[in-house]
Amino acid sequence: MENRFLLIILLLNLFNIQAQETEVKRGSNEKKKDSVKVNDLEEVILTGQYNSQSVKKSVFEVQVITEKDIQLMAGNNLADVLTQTLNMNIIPQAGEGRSGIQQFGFTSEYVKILVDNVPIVGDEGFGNAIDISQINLDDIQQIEIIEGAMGVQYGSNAVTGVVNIITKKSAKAKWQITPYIQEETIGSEYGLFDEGRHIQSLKVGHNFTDKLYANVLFTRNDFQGFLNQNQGKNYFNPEDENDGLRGYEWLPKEQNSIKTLINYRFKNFTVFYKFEYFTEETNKYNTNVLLNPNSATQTVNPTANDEIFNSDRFYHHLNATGKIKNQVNLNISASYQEQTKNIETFTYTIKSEEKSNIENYDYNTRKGFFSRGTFNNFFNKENFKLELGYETTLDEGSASGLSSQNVENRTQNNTLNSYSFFASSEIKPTTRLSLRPGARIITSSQFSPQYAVSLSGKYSFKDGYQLRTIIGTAPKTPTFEQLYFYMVDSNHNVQGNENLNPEYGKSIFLHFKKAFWLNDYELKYTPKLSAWYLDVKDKIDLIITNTSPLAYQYNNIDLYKTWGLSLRNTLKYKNLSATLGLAFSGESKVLNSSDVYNDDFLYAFQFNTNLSYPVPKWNTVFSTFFKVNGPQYQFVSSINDDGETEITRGKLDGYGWLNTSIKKTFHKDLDITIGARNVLDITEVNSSTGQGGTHSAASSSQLLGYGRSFFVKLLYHINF
Amino acid sequence: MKSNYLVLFSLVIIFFTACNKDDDSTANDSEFVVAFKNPSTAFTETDNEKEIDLVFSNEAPQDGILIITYTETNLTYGEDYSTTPSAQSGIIEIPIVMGTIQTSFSLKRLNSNPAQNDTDKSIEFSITEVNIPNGFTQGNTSNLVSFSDTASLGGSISPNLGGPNEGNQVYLDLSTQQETVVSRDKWDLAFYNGDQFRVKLNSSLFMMAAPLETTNIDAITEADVASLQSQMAFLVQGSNEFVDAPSGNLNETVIEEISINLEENKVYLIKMGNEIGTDTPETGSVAVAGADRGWKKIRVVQESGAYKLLYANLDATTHQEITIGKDNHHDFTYFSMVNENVVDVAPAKGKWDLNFTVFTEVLDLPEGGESAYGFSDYVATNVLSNTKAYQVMTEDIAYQDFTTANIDNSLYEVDQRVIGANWRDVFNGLFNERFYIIQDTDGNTYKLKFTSMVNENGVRGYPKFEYQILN
Repeated sequence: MENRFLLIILLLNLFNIQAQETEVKRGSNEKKKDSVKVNDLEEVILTGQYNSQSVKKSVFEVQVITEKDIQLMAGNNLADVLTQTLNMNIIPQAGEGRSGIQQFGFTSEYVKILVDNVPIVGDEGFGNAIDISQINLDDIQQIEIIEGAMGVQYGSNAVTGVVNIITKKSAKAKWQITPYIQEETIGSEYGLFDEGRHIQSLKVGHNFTDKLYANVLFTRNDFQGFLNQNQGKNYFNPEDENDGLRGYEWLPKEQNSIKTLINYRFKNFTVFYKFEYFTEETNKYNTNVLLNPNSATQTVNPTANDEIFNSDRFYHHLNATGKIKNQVNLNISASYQEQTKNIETFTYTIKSEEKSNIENYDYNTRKGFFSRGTFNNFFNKENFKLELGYETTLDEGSASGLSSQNVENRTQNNTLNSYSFFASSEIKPTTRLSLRPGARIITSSQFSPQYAVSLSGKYSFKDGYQLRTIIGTAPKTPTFEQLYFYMVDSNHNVQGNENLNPEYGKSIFLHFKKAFWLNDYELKYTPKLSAWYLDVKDKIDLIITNTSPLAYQYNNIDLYKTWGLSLRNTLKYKNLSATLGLAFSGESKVLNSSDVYNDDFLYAFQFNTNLSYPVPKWNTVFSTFFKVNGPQYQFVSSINDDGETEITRGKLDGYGWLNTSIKKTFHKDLDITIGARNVLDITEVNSSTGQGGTHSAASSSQLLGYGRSFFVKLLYHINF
Repeated sequence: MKSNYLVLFSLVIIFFTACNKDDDSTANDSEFVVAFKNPSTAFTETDNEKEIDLVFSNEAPQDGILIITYTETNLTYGEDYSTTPSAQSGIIEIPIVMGTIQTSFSLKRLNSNPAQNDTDKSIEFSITEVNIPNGFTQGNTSNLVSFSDTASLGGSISPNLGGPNEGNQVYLDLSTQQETVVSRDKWDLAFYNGDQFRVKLNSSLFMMAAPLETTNIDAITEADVASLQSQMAFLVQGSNEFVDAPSGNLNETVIEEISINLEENKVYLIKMGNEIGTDTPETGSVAVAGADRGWKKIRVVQESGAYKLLYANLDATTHQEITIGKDNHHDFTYFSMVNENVVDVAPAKGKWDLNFTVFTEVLDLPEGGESAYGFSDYVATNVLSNTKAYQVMTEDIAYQDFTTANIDNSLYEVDQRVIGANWRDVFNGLFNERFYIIQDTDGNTYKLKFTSMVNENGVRGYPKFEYQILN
């Protein structure tokens, strides 16, 4: 019965055991080897669990990206690694220097991103609309991804799923000093300083005593941008100021982050404090130039309206996990986070390379306090467990760019304090069946009380088959733009709506799987078949509230639905490990916001595979990650020549992400990884899904990558 | 062996981080070009002294000297004219001051202009030397000064529209380069001074008018017109009925011709539109419409060859009256119902060609029908004085290649909308691939192309164009 509080040694690196060995510890000092076979490296997960436990025992279905995977992909930030995940797409907003995730076709506002179970501060509140290229992975143990609405466990906005990043809290050697450098081309662009991507990092960890561990990490990621056909900041075309070739296709930015961790183990408690300071500078060069021709002298004096965004983020997280009276487990986190995004706008005179007319203001700020506590194991009953929890978010933020016609009103502040209570229980009527019902009430300073419910069930068949059912719901809070946008003049009337209600998402997932052992336990094959349905109702969209005069306002109106099937297979044979996944999904949008719409389901498929082959004799690992996103379809409305609204099916062509690398370890302490990202050289993909409007044109392609790029990473382990 | 790797690693680290500095050290020795602001200057009979402006391509990098020479036609320096600074042995030296972007010299006329049939009198000033490193002259390298009323050869003009609120109406005369700037809320109604009795609305304030069934101005209340009011707004189907025809055709004003028969002159409901905007918009946007100016009611009748205007606030039970007579020198007489006085607005008849203004247009709605719609950066031609114009695309002929021989008289239109807002794209700036041919009120023909929609900081409401005479 004490299995629940196992301390499991996690062997993440197959050939460099000494440096990579990591332990995960929750709740107990008791040590016991997991009962699974020794060569089966069981994954331990934390997301949505009462206490950390193996994937096999979890009621949820969790996908794990291990530190090993991250290393083989030479991933520095979250955007580098999530390209390989099923049901997710990385959508770069290259013109803003950002990268967002889409999960099940929903934007990053519907996915919650957590670090050690704590949502991180973003432009739209805690955990949402996160620029995933800002999430550094240099101190990461693993990334856990759960699909489905997780409102009971993680509150508002965990609608399509949760990405939980688990950082390392311990190490074995007394001192661990890990410097690395990574040099990368951006497509075919590379220069020592002004092109390409340059990463330097240094991590120092130390076990002061067997109870006290601390580490500090510094990383610099210098991304010099992707020019593609563009010509940089000093370009102008004297014949055509609007040729759009100045600046960059993908904005350059530089990130620096400092992180530190202090972990202390008491007798019945473990306490850690984690701090991060992150700073980023993004240079936004206007692609259009103002020539400012002087007719008299027949000369031009080109200028451009440029912007520099400076982001700073502070993250403090204090966590205590332990046991009260040798009985009740508790896990309490308190986090204070702050993000400021400052914008500097200026006129750049190209010939003299001078800045003038400089203006600075806060573009986006957010600060808040977050606390979450869970309490379980109130009584010693194996077949009935209860967890109680609370969550508090005190969140204050501002966003800009909401009123183009009056700069005084362009910034709006919003405070959203929410207090949640949640309870769930795990009931095991038989040894084969376990059920976990849960509910959460969310009260807030802005919206009427919201509810989330969940019901998970797991049934183990006699022959090793497992069936899991996960039903969950989650509300989604409106964005700043939806609440406060304002553009009203004699010709326009487009308004946000402060009376919006949260959207409401729900999902049902079914997973069916079994592990097959073959060839005298040398071959393990685990197929998993999943089916799901997910919808979001009261989805907010801009609707015409008055036809004469034409007025638009955001309202809770639409319904988005998606369902799908996936088959994920993992195969382990001796040293070789392989995964292969297939997903087929359909989405339907009931756009009550439009007069004419088509809510037929549109289908798409995704495929991913990962092969990793270590050759212990050479201390080398060969790996390949490959994901195919099949063509995606979307209904597009346009006005035809007769002035009628037409619905046509737009298409985004399919594309594939292929990454490959070779990692070799020299003398057990120098890792050299060389590899290629985006081997298939994807940049723009044909698209006819852009919505043409009165003030915008349908785009004919979507930028997804910066082409085939190569990297080399040198990482040195100094452990003593 | 282990330490070798460490050394190697450290060296690589140092290599990549130590010398990370910006390597852009582009030489700042760009060219410096000086030219006359305009290619010509006309001394009319009333002018005694003129400032001849010289402009630089960029800020002067250092102090220097500009050498100007001149060629006289039937004029003699010191007898017929003089300059400051003065000429020494045929050369005028003008200092260039570091950091400035222009300079000038003044020209004084000492004798009267030649009589109608006398020989032409003129001086041509030329820049012969720019004494500054990389300095030279290009473009308007000379300026022809005529002692007569000759038409301007062209130049570059930046009408003072007033920035992103576009608070001004700017009347321009191309041949004399006269600019008349009027705050666009100065007037509400314009009374035609020609043969007809016609009244125009100030479309730059987005005013509208609707005829009512009655002739009794005092009987109208808000309740009578409530349903009408909701139709009188932009982007409402049919709201084009409440504005003057954007073509400028005087026969299509929303207010019917004022009849000699009193009973036919109905009361009109007047939407006063918007005040000039006062907000500061984001760079690149305009904020032309300010607070709502409310509603009024008017009735206009003829009275012994003059107009009589009856006007009142919508709910008033009494009204004001004013008699507005006809003025032969101007096309219209302008009246402000806010300040209750007759005001000067447009220059005299035929003394302007282009009017830069906010403007009420009519557009097709996506769902069918038409609506009134407000435009910023609008350029209306002076149709009442027969200013003609047409648009040329550069794919047919380039601006610099267009000469008198290319003028196609059949393409001319007398319509305020020929230039209109066609010259610019709100999202991408101006259209480079089009220019205009204009025959002005004096019969001169110019080619004209817009060179900017915004200023060098990207702020709207700073249009700029260049033009050149065709002869």
